[in-house]
Amino acid sequence: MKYIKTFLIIFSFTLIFIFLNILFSPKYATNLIEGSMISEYYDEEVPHDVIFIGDCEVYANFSPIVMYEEEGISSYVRGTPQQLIWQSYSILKETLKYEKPKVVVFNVNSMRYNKPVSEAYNRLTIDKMKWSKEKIEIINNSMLKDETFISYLFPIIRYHSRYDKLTKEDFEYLFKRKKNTHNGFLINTNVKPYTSLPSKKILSNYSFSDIDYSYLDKIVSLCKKNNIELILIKAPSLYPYWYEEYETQIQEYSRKNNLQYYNFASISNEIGINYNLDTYDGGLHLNLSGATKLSKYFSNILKENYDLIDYRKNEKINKIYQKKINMYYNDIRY
Amino acid sequence: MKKIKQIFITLFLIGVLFGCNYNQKQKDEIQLYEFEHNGKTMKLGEVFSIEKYGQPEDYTEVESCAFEGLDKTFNYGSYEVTTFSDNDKDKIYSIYFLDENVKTKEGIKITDSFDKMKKTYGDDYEKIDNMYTYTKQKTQLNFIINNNEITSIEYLYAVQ
Amino acid sequence: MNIFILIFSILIYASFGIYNLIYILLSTLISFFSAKTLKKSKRKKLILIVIILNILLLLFFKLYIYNNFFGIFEKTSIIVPIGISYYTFQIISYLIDVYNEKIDAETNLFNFLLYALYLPYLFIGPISRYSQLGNQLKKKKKIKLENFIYGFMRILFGLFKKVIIAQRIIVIINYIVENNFTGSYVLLSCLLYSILIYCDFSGGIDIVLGVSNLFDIKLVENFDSPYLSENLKEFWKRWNITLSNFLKDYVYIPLGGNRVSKIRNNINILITFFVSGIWHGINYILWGLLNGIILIIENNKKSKNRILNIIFNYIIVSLLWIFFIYPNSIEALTKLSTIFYEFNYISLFKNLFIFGLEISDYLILIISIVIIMIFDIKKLRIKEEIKKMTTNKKIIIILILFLLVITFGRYGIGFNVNEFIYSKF
Repeated sequence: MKYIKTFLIIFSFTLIFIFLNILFSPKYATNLIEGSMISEYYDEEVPHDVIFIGDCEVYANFSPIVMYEEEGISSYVRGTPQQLIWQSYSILKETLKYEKPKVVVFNVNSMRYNKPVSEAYNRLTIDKMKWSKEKIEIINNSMLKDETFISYLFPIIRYHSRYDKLTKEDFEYLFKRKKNTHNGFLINTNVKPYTSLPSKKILSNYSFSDIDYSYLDKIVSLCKKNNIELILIKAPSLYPYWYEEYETQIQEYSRKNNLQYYNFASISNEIGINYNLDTYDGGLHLNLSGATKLSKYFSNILKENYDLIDYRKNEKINKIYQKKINMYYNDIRY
Repeated sequence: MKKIKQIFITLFLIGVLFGCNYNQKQKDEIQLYEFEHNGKTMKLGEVFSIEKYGQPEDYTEVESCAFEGLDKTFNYGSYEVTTFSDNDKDKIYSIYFLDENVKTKEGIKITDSFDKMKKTYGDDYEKIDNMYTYTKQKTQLNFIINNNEITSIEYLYAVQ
Repeated sequence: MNIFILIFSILIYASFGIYNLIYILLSTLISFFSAKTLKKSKRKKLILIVIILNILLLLFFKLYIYNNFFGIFEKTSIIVPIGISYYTFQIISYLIDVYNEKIDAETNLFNFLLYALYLPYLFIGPISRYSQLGNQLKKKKKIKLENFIYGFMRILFGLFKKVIIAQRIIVIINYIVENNFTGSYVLLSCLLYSILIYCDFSGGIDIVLGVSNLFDIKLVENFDSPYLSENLKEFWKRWNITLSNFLKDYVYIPLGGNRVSKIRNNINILITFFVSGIWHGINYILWGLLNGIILIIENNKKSKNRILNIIFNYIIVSLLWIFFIYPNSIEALTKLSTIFYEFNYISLFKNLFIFGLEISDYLILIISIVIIMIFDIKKLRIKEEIKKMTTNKKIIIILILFLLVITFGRYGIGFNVNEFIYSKF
């Protein structure tokens, strides 16, 4: 009886502490929206036959809504900024806890990175992931030298300095999410034509590292174990340079492992991509117009070669997708 | 006991005061790696401006994945300067040689031999694959060697 | 529990470099055995030699640090053992006490190791006597809730000083130093440095004492509201108390203290402060001597106006910290002199926000400094009040301190928590 007061004190404090952790975490709702991508997946109400994993080359270039309109394919892009291959692996594992897609598409651009790049990108990918074994795994694999696990567990340790930078967004989105993507695709209607790019630099080593190969192996076997068709792709992008040596390695790898590999960058003409109109950053990523072309092209490939359901014929799911389509074109008009 | 202590302390007093008379040398100014061309000196990490270094032949802006400002690349024909943005200022991050018409401050150019590089810069390099990196504080000079010949030269600034 | 403390201390200390362990074990073992032999043979000379050896080892490293920093000879790379200044003096105090037959030599090696290798003090002090710390360690320790509560409160209070106050002030001072500002900026750095070094040092001590308290080990206080002093003599009784006491008992008094002629007394004072200077580092000798000289000139005089005395003393002490801000004594003196002929105060007020702190930081700084001031002034009263509080109220204080430190502290990525200033000595 005499400890009830103590217990209440400690309990209230714990609540305050948890509240502060949530309050100080960036919401990624209207600012740095790329950070919210990973979590929008959890709100999905439809099954997805196709899952994309990879970096900004997937979430800028592939539009599931377009693919649905074309062929009734239900897909989701689980891409995040600068997503590294071990992160893709953990994210795929996590996705498989929610559903079993028929096809997984992986953009091989991240094979060129063999160590964590920046804390900021780690945060964008990891912060809004739901806590799970995979999140613990991804944190441990991605932390830079001066990062700590506890700062992910208690975000206030990382974000406490925001005490004088809190905005309306921090309070508004304490307990709700703002949807910024459309099935993981980020719309960008700006046009910045390709004019020039930095020179192609000579590298000291063109081989993908052991760690990249090992995670690619893991992705391959994870898909095999779950009867999922894995497709490797290289999204169309003029920079950073996809060296011939990189291309050779991926071709050999896909040959050895009996995987389908599409290099969309090398057939951008065939897809109809015009780097004067179809890119928003001078050739690194496609804009809405380019992504639409690529998505239509890819959905045809998928339809031809994979046994995917046409969900337009499913009344319940089609209704949900109609709502999505409306929101999509609404956002574009904006 | 007291006497010994006194003697000891007095002796030491004299010894150290004598030592103190040496001029306290300031920390040596360590020469960092910098690039010189046509009379201009480019220091890594310094603010870049076209007024200072002249109009480039070509110019590119590259935005990274989500944010972090713009990386700007200025092409001067034989070399290329890349800047990163830091607090609204563009600071020099890399100077990359494009052909053998430019030399490092110490006189090394692309196509020079590996031995010449070693003789000029010494043995204190870090070797990863066939890239040889010389570091002075935050500035780096990277050489890539193929068939005993320099095929690439780049000045890099360690932003961290 | 003692075994746990010793093993823990050794492991953590060794994790900073196994060479650290070698030096401290060397000093500790040689000192232990030389003291132990005193019991059998009355050969006091042996202890004397060991004392001198310890001093020489300390001096060697002080010279080494000085050389490496100021580049007299070629740079070499030897690891300077962590806490050598603290453990050397602590061990020497033991040896001298045994030599003077003030205490009995310890016969149990384990006990002595515990005393010398007690981890918390190796980073920042205090310098404890064997009669005090030895007994605290040997006594039967009780895990009491009371100790935990007091311990955590003290630790958090120390963290409050370090990460909220010290970590903010250092931003200003670093900026001023790195950009070679002079005149009023130097005066500002001195005045702020007083607060910085106090919060940093006493904050660290709070953590050491707090941690020790968790294990029912009570260490001697090292600070007693030092900036309430009215002259330097009083100041040194309230600042780094354990070091001052060491110097008093083992240098000043053996030299004769004040039971000698005035001139001789002044020399004794100078020698004592000279040693204090060296203890901090060779380049602090001038600082030490200046302290001594000013103390002699003051002659323990105090004006009738208490507040004026306190302010004046604060200014003197602040100006003396110049040797800590600029480790090069010549540069320190040069910068100090600019205070007296460069009056760029207007420029300073215009530039308050270029140092790297924002208005919210200044607000937090002012409020926290006021809190510490109130605490220092009303210390006895506040401690009494807290003692009278119920456990629940104390827990609330701890939790509030915790939230304040976590939210307003400057730590983590992008803040580089600087090491404690006094760990460098």
